[in-house]
Parts: sequence; structure tokens; C-alpha cells
Amino acid sequence: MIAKELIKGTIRTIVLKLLAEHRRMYGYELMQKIDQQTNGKIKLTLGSLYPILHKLEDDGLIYSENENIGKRVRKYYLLTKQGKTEKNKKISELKDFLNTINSIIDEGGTANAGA
Amino acid sequence: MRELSSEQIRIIKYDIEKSGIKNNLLKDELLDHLCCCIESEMEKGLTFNHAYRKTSEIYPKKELSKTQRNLSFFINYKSFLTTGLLYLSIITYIISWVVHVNAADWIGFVSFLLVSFVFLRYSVVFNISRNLKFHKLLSILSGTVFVLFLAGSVFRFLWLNYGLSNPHVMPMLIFSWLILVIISQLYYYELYKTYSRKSSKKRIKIFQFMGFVHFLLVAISMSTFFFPVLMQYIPELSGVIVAVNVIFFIYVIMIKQKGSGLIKSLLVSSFLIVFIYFPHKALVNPQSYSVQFQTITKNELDADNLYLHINYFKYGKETLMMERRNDSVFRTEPIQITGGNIDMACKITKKKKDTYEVLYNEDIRANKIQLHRNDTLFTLEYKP
Repeated sequence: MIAKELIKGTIRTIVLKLLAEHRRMYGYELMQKIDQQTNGKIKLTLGSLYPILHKLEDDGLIYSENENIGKRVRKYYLLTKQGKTEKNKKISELKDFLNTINSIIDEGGTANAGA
Repeated sequence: MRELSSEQIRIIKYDIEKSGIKNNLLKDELLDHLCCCIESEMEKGLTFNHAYRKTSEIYPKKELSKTQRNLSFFINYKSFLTTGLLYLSIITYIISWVVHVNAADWIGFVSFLLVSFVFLRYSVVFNISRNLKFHKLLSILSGTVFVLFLAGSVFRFLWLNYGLSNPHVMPMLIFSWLILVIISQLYYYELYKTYSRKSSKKRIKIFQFMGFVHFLLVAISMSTFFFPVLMQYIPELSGVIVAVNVIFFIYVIMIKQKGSGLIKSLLVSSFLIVFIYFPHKALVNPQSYSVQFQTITKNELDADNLYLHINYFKYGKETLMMERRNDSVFRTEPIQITGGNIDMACKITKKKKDTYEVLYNEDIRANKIQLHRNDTLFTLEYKP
């Protein structure tokens, strides 16, 4: 399991990326997908996923569609045009961040090995 | 996948409500989430009871209430901003009218500015709310309300404090009120479709009803522009509007429905617009001014005196004698009026009691009645 502190800033990007790949997804489906794709290393809680989905919707990056599933209602989330642009931006930011972290860690590793 | 029965869903829903989840949108999402999880466990061969117990261990009640708390933190800060601005504007506005201090006019002006910025915020929010079908139209209309409300407030302030007359002030404010009614109807029509819960739908229906009542009130208010004879009923009309707004506002606060910010904005802005005509009594003696009304006739009249019949919105009807000062200028003796608002309906006659023999605009130069307050010359639109 990856520490919460490390995951915190990346959930928005992960959600946007998954919605871009699957067109529309609902909360439980998103949570399961993240769990499967990361082999259980990233486990979202209800308290982290739903507030982020509502915030993204409030910011106009995603929108929702309600559908009746038997006796209950399911809320599907979809990316808006603005959300697609934001997804690309966030992914390149995240890649840049990971490269930077890698360079620091690798450099540190080399220095330690040298010492 | 096996679907849960109505009874099983009812049990889960009951437990969600018992854990203190009040947000209806979140309630529906959590219900679906837990149902999916239970169904998935039942697929593995567990009974409903076992699957529900296992799901409750994964998502305990504490986790559900934490979700609501986090959601409030993420989402509500924006509505806190709108509600905060609205409450602040009500407080500043009431202070400016009830407590007559030197800075009262400025405080009143600030209250109008606060409400204008709420509409600017709505314009931005609607622009990015892609999930609303009419979001572009709503954004443009909110922007228009912002411009009209801001311009109306500025002109009104200049008129009350510096005598810079602008006959379009009230039409501007009333028109912004009308657009706001249209915005609220469109918005709640869209919001109504997104809710599945009967109680939420019912509340949105009530907001739509409030919007409809406001449509009638704004239509009646607008009719006073076209039928000046109705202007004498403005204090009664504004009294009704203020009372309706107060009742609606208390109701909206009590039900705590998500999406109520717009109806609150409609109620507060219309309250601000009409309250200036509400015949209230100030708690502290208002500032008193010595004023003289004067009019300049176009042709020399064969009369020594004219009579000005005024209906001063806050203090009722009065007939004042205007003495001839020179060939065409007729002026009243100085009289004391209180408060900063000097809007009024008036007509001029040659005889004191014969109110049918009214002088019309062809007799009054520049269609104006002038009013001296301290050293400032105010000009009132003459609408016999």
C-alpha cells in the first residue's frame, strides 16, 4: 500500500485519466478500477473519492448523468471539454514531477554508492 | 449480477440515513456504492446478510460520515461565500436604513455592491458548469444582472447623495430582478431533473413556485412605469414584497436544500430593491433636511400660486403651495423632510383642491420639478 500522503495530490489526475479512457464511470467502478490497475497499492476511501468527484463537477471538469438501476439511481461521471484539456495538463505535470523525484532519488543513490 | 430487492435497498438506505448523511446527492451515491459492493459479495456466494455485514466492515458508519464532512469542506466553501455575502449585504442594508449615521448612505451602497458581486460569481460558475443544459445562457443572463444591478446601485447612490438624476435607475434594478426570475426558473428546471429523491424534487418545486410569485410581483412593479396612477400604491406593494421575501427567506434557511443559493440571491436582491419604498419607521431619528421645491413654467401663467401635490413614499401625501418668485419660477417655502430618499410621485395644479386641473409637461419647462436640499439642486422627473 502506498502512503496516503503520496497519493493525495494525484487522485484528481487519476480520476480524470480513467474517465478519459472509459467515457463514463460511476463511483464504485472508479474505485474498483484503481484498485485493480495498481494491484491494490492505491486504495481510495469513500471520504477521498466522492468529495473529489463533486469538486471536479463543481469546477466544470466533469459532469454527471443519472440512470435508474433497478430500484436505485446510479450517477455516471463524464469528462467535459475543459476536463479533457485539464487531464492532459495534469498528466504532463505529474510526469514532470515523477521525473524530478526520480532524478533526485537516483542522484542520491549514486552519491551514496560512491561514498 | 444479482440485483438487490426493494426491501434490501430500503434497509441499506435506512442505515445510511441513520449514520447522519443529510446531503441527498451523496445519499444516492453511497447507496449505489454499498449496493454494488454487496452485490459483488453475493456473486461470490454470500447471503445478503453476510454480504452486508462484510460491506459494513469495509465501509463503517464512521467512514460514511467522514465522506459527508469532507464533501462539505470541498463543496460548501463556495456556497458559504455566496450566503456570507448575502447575509452581510442584508445586515449592512438594514443598518443603513434603521440607524441614521453619517456613513449610512455608504453602508447602503456597499450592501448593493456585495449583492452585485454574487451575480458576477454566478456568471463565472454557470460558465463552467457544463452539466447544465443552458449554462452559457445562464452565465450571460447572470452577467447582465451583475451589470444592471451594479449600474443601478451606482446611479442610485449618485442620485441620493449628489443629486445626479437618472430616470433609469429603478427600471434598471427592476429589470435585473426580472432577469433573475428567469435565471432561477431555468436553473431550477435543470436542477429538478437531476434529483431522483421525491423530497428534493418537492423542495425544488417550491423554489420554482417562489420564482413564479416573484414573476407576478415584478410584473406588477413594472406596471407602475407604464401607469403612473399606480405609483400611489407603491408603499403597499413594497410592503407585500418585503413580507413575502421575509417568509420565503426563513423557509429557505430552514429546509437547508442544496442549490438554494440562487433563490436566496433572488429574495435578497428584490428585498434591497423594494425596501427603499417600504414605509418603515426608523429606530433612530433620521437626519432632517430643509428643502424647497420649485418649478419653472414654460409660459407665463395667470396665477400667483401653484399647488404641488406630492406622495412622498415614506411619509405619505401632502399638498404644498408654490409661490411665484418671478415670471416663471414658482417655489415652496422651506420644509423639513427626513431621510435621504426623496423619490416621490407628484402633480401640480392651479387650485389647491381641484386636482383635475393638472399642469402637464407642456406647461413645465424641461419636464422637471427642482428641489433644493442644503446646497444641492435635485431634479425630479415630473410625471403627472
